Amino acid sequence: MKQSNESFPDESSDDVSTGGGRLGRRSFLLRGGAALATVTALAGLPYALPKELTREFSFVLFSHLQQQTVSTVQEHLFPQGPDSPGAADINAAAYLEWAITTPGTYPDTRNTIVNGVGRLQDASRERFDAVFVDLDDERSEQLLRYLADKTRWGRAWLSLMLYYIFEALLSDPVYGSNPNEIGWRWLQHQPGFPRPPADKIYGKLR
Amino acid sequence: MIDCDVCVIGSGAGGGPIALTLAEAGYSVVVLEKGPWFTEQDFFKDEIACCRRNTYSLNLQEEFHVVEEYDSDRGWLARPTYDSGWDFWNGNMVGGSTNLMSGFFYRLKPKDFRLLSEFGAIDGANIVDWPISYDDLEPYYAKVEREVGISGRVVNHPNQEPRSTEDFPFAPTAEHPVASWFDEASERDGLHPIPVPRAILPHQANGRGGCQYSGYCGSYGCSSGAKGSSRAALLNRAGASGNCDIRANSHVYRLDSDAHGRVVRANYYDNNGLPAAVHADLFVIACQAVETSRLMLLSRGPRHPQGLANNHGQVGKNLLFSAGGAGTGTFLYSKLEPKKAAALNIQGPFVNRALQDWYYVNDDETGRMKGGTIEFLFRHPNPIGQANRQKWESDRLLWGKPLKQKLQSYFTDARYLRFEVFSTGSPMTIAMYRSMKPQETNGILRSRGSRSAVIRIT
Repeated sequence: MKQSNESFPDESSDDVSTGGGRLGRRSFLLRGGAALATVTALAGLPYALPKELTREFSFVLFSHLQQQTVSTVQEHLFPQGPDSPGAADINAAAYLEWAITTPGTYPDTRNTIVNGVGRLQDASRERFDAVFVDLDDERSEQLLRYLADKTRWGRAWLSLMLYYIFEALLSDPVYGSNPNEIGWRWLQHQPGFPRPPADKIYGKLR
Repeated sequence: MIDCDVCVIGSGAGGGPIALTLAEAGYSVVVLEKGPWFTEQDFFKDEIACCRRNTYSLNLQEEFHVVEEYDSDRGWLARPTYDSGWDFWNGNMVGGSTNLMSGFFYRLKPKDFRLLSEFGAIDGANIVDWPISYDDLEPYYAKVEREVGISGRVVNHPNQEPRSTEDFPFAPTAEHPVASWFDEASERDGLHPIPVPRAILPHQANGRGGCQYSGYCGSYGCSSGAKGSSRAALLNRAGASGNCDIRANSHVYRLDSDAHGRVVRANYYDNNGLPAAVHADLFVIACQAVETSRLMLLSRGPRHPQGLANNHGQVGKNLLFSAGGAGTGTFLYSKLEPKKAAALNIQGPFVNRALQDWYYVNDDETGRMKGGTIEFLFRHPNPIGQANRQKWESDRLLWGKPLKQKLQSYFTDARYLRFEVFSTGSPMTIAMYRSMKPQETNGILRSRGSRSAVIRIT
């Protein structure tokens, strides 16, 4: 996958987070539809909003238990907050399945995700003698933190799981992710235009 | 049996101008382009298709490069791009990477053509002066600005190059409020801010639409035709002349030459993957530095035993880079008056400013040398890429509440103004970065079949 948009890579992959106050009080609009806090100098072009796809888990790669494991891990990594969407709100599990089964996905990427789920199931049984989806929050955190900090595969897998959560959060809703622009609205992101219609998304262009 | 007067291989910044000029002069031209033919109707502001997948580049599993990098402890280390994910394809489609460019259209300056005589030799680098001068090229710079449709405004500054035309053909594109802050600060410091010459039309002209200021430009194809890609600005016109046949999805794999050494035939795989050929009087290879060299090295003939025009073994050597650097300034909304914060938050128009005050450097420590252009722009708005950079806190993966807080703060507390330094393709320049000295050993070392090239980067 292509990672750099600028002529030179950013000075650091670990950008410094800025502290301090916000630009006014944002109203988080889970109920949808309102304008972003950002303004456009030259908006109002005659593009229709694309129709959003609905996306459901199809169990192409995962068993029922694995699907639940994926969803549980994603919600742990990206939980719903009082004014912010969680993994389930952005269809992260179904999106992940689509993303790694689309033609053109590198086998390594798909295998990293799929094998990681299996290894987590193993690790959970070995450490706690329980399936991962039955662990309480504290044990889930303990196990995932161990895997991220102490194992190479766990670190690569969780990093990739997070990456696809960001895609589900911030890609165009036409992909069945970011429903009702919930991710864009949370982060006050203004999309570009024209937006992709369903027949011209990735995989349908070439 | 001849199919056309001239066959041009590649349709980007090199192939487009040649195809148009010849077609308009009445020559019959065939352009062979490896990639598909996308048009304005195929370009959308879709980060997934544009920038997260291989829509505009090739599948690295099938067509990869092997990049060798120098490591001071371990020597030369080779790694294929399908493994590293480091993509050397810049845009495979009709019009090539110009479809995805930011469109900076600076001219070189007179001294850039004689770097050896102006600044002297550099140990380990093989610099030469150009055989032509800026004056020889000036009429062509003026022509390119006219034909591509460059917007900008010429201002006087110490490194302004001489021009035969008073100004650019088009006024600058709409500018972000931050441009005036930048001018104020620069002038206070005795610097000379210049509007960026840009291949973007500010309004409808030449059968193309004007800029729509969506704020997503570099890396994206343009859906209005405002961006002066080789396709939108040149090849559409070449095709309309009736003398130019542009064949997309046509992958040239070898040029055949005869007993006299003349190239007579381009062999390619056509749209259906079937072998095909073009016979022409003249051939132009315009596939960027790496692929042009690879095709020449693969095209051996009776008079070209080491590949086309490679009797001195120089094809694929002396690869040059535009060295550079980048940095970012963070503007916290909370530190600004509400009016200024709102102005800073405007999305769409360009910052459109650059500095050339350090185009040539005369420094006590380094002496006289070529410097470059410092470009100012907002950080690219692609949100997925930006979010992904927030997941690390030093080398620890973040998730849960801390990650969400960091994301929210990153996206909503500040705006980020970047500078990018372009020390445009000169050996002197690159010598500023000691690890990137161009030498004969740089460049493509050998060709491995038709699917990969070896690139060595020091």
